[in-house]
Amino acid sequence: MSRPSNSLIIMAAGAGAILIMIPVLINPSIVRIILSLLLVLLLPGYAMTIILFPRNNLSNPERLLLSIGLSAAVTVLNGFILNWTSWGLRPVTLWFVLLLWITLAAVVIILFCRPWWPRVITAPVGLRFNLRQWLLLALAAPVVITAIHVARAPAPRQGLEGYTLLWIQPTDAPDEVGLGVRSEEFTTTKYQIQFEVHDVIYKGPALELEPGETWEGFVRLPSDPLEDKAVTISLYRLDDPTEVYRHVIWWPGPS
Amino acid sequence: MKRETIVAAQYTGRSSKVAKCERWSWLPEIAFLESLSLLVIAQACVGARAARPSAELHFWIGLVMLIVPVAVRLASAEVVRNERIALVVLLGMAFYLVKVMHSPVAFTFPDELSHLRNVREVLETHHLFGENPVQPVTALYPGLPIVTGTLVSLSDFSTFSAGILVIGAARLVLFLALYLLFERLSDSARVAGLATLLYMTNPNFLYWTAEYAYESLALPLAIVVLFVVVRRETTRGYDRVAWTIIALLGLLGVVTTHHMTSYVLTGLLWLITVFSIGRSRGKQRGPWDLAFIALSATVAWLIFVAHFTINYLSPVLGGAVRAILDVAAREEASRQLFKSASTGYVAPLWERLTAISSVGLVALGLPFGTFEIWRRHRNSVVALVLTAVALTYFPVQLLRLTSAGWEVANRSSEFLFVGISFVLALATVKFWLSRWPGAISNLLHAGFVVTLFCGGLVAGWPPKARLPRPYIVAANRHLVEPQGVAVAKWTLDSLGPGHRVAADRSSAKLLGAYGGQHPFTGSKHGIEAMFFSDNVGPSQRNIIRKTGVQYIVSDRRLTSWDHMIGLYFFNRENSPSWELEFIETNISAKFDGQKDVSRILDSGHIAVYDVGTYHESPIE
Repeated sequence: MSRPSNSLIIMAAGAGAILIMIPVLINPSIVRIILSLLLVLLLPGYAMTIILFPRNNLSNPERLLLSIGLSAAVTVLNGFILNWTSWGLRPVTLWFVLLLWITLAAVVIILFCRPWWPRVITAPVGLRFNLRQWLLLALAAPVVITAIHVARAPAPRQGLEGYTLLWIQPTDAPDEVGLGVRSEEFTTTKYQIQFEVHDVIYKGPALELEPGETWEGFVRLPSDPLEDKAVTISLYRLDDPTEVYRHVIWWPGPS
Repeated sequence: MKRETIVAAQYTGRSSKVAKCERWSWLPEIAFLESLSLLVIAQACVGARAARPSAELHFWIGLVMLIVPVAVRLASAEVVRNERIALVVLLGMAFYLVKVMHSPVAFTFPDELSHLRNVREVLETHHLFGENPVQPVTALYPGLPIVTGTLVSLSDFSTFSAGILVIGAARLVLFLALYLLFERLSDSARVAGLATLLYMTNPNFLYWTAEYAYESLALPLAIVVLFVVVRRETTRGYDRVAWTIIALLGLLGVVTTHHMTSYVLTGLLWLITVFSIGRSRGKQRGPWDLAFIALSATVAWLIFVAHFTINYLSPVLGGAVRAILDVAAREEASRQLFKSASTGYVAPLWERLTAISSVGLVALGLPFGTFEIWRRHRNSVVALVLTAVALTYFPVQLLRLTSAGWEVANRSSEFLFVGISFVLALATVKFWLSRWPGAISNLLHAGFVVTLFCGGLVAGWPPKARLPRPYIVAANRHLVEPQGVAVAKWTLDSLGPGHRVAADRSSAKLLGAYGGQHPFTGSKHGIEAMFFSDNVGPSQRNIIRKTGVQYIVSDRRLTSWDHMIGLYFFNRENSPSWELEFIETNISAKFDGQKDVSRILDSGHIAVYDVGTYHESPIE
């Protein structure tokens, strides 16, 4: 087994350093996503197959299988190791462990000289398609992407109902409560808030909310004591002002 | 047979003729057809969300279109190894995309929501074994959240995207591992391709083992270990050590990822070991080392980490055993097949016929495959063990006739089909396709596979959850999510995480996954009884006090108690009547009139009550 030259080791160290710098320099980016996928789902296992089988006696499907399968197993192992440390599974520690793993693997590969390793990542032999077949393959990809895009389309509104959330929360002031309204209706909606204390109805603010919009505010309650009396807050839709659309009930006190 | 010889030669390494014949003849055409089939299924998904009646027909047509070209091509003898591998991977990944298109924007299957909570715990606490109140056992097997959490941490993917990618990678591993395992056992690329195809007809293939759950990762790793066991048999010296290291890493992955898969894998390793020792009269010990380590690791994990698994599994397995004994003693009426106990839905005639036909075809093929294995492959211990696994199909099917046992029967299919698919593939190649070669035979074979697949899907997945349901609705530029999701997110934002909340089954899943809460649901602790009582008396208050529940999430839709469909929008115009049923107001809104119980949120169907004041009084 031939010894690696110093230049090879320096190149490996340089490559390792660049690998470590990449996520620091690019955050977040497509390169980071690709690098993450490779680091979690492919490279650790791939490196292991190179190290474990020095005679390159794996077929391409076997190597692909082991690259992904072993990567998952190695990631699980890393997770347990990190879990036993006080740092745990943080992005920094995960980057560190996975990059360390790859760098060590690269050093082992170079030290024990596996010069054939680039050959095993070439495309399978025999890909002799004619122009029509290449065209069909090229067409299949956008059709699949279109299918997924179509399937991701939101459901049509017909037969479905939007909704509105009304909530009430205590505040630091005893005579004040926090109110919130969030519209998840399908169109812009106008509301009117009313609240009832001691059988007296008070008119609150009127609102107009776009779908997805939230209103939050406070309602000052009458200064009369509220012991044993609940406050009822009602929300009306102005397109149907006779019917209570939502209501919440507030009991002052510890709750 | 000449082509078969060449393929076998390629496989065994005698590759002089291989380079000449190695083409990917029909792969591009079939890939294009698969993509069109996916487009048909995408349309079916859109139609299903709009409650169009034609959606179901499109869905089935799309599935048949996916299967037929691959099944026809794989049945042919004129296909080289690489094309066969590409075809099974292509079809398998296309099936995975069907699942992705079912829930393309979020995880919506009940178990997926439980596992989402585990990833959330890892990402927030940076440590494993966090709390999972919805499905506690899942937190004790952290393999999946580790891989997903790592990907999320490194890439800034959403948990959903990372989960889709991780399970996608696991599916790829599954197909490759199955193919390579079957190829090693049969010495035939044709049998391997067909066996992998037949594996895809198991009832849990399309959805259950493709969902974001721990078994979806553990099962492929287990098949990798089985492949390594077979591969290791023929190696010596350094290579054997290398394969052993791989097997050990795979075992570690399985044991820490899913309980049942680790038990099945351990059992299989021991069966192979015992068969090896028995057949060679002690001269060969088989994978005894791996079997021993698998048993030790599984037992150690069970005792020191995941002892709760016993509580989790024993009711299911024990119930199945009791059910069989009761049926045998005629003390329990057998379960009515194809009829939903909860909704009364009866499967249409064609579904019933297809499901029964699929069972019949498996039953018909197994004896032939068993005979072929005995004739040509009885020297392979793993092949004999897989045959034994396949033959348990018959007794296990009897469990489907019992109320308590059908779940075990259904859940075992992804394991049993490892054996069944191999035995059936041998039977079809040796007694059918080799004897009557030709296009008609290949087409009939495709029909056989379609029947098995459709029958499996009918038997394995409830019709109400087979097609997608409305999950998001576009409102101008905003996407509206279901009420339960909005309420769960509200609890996190407004109340903070970690509160004890009583809820229906659907809301409980969502509160755990998106709300970070500690939900209580179901019949345990009397929660369901409390929800369905029409008053708030001492009994109901005591349930709240004993469980320490601070908030009650009350959904007035009856479907909210069915966590397969309860979280979606329902269509007022086209839903079946049982889906539109509401719980009576005096039951769902019984807390409205309670003194000191604030109704703090109202979203229309769902109300949230603060019952914290009940804890100021002692248990009555």
